[in-house]
Amino acid sequence: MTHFIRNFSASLAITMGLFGCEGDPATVEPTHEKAASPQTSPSDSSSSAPARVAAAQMVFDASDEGASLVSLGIPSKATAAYYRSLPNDLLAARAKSGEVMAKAFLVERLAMDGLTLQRARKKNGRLPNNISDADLVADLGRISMELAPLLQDTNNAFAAYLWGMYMSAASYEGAYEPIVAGIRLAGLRGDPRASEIEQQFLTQHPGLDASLIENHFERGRRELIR
Amino acid sequence: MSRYGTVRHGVLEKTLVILITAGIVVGVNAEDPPVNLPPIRGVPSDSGNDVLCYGYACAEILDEMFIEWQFDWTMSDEPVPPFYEVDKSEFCSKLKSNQPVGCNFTSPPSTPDTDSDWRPNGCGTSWEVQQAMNVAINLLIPNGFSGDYDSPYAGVSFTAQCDTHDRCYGLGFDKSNCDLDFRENMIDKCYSVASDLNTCLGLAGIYHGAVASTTAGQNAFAEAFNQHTCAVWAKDMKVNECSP
Repeated sequence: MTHFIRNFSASLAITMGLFGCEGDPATVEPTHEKAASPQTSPSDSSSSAPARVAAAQMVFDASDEGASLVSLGIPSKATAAYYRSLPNDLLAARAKSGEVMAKAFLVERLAMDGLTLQRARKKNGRLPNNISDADLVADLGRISMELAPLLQDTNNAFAAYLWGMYMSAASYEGAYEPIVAGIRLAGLRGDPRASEIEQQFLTQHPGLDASLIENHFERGRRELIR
Repeated sequence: MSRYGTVRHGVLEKTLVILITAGIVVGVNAEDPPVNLPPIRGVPSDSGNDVLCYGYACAEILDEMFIEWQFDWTMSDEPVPPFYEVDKSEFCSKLKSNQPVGCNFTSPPSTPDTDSDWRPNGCGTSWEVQQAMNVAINLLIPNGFSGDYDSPYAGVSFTAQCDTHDRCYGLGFDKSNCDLDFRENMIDKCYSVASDLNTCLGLAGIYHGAVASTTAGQNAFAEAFNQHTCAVWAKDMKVNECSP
């Protein structure tokens, strides 16, 4: 049974807010309650805003060159909206059955939850009262297991973005450098947008440690070329 | 007259500058003997023996004394001598005043580079870290956890990887690099031997997460780092025959 940290509703609402709810008419209606879109202040550097930005930038708009990106495992906004709307149990079940996109979005959900909590720890000096390090660690184990087959597909650039988010969630207080490394790795796997996405991310969050980014990038490259 | 007495050896000839790249423990595994790292600084002294530093605090003292010596000669009317010797007595006084808080000179902590009897303890860890791992492992492999953190699951053993991680922390290396090396080593192990690759990788994620992302992991590193700082300070004191 998948162990989900709370905040799924908030994570979904944040993502939906970024996309403006551009949904596929064929999308299955979510069974959970949608939360109101939270405020995303640019000055809120302690939140997981960078991860949300990265998540928004990972998927492509219908006006982009979709075919080539689809071949790299990168979902459209509509596809992303669909999977992000799935309830926890259904998403987990579909991931367990081997569905690649379900695995990817399960990883994204768990990683974003973890990163949100790590950043909350950075801001407040501790995790929220009802969350323990054990919860975080459990999800990191699950992410590692679900992400592995995605990483083994050398054509899957989306998996590289997810790797960056995972490593960010796996760092104490949620360092952002792994996210940049993941974007760079997506470029290595063929996403032509990666360089521009990286620049946008770095512009929005100056002062990141270049050597730390490079360190994560090199380690990610070794992991992705197995 | 030279402030530091008779000059005998050139700085460039005698100064030993060996850079230790943080986070790199090359070829070290559970079967390796304790690490014998060379000193990171060595300077001739007026006592006849070189002053050697194994710790950065000691090396900084030497660096500051050298800069001060250079400055003094620069400000004087006399020509700067070509060679430098450190004032041993002054050096010991400065090193003694640098004693880490709570550090016991007589019985410092055991670390890989200061105690030949130091041994890693596999995947044994603090109670706090174990609590985090316990929950996670039981969620990942319900009814499959062996109870042994060294070999949590049939066909999976991370003892060697945990020992290397212990050594990395014990040497005071960069935490991030130690943790990432740990993760990489475990993943390598999974791909080389695990019959159930996904479970192995999941466990690797848990073990890495436990040390890298938790407060308990931070505390474990801080304790190891402080122990290393104390142990190296005591070694520097003893090697240079400075009285506590």
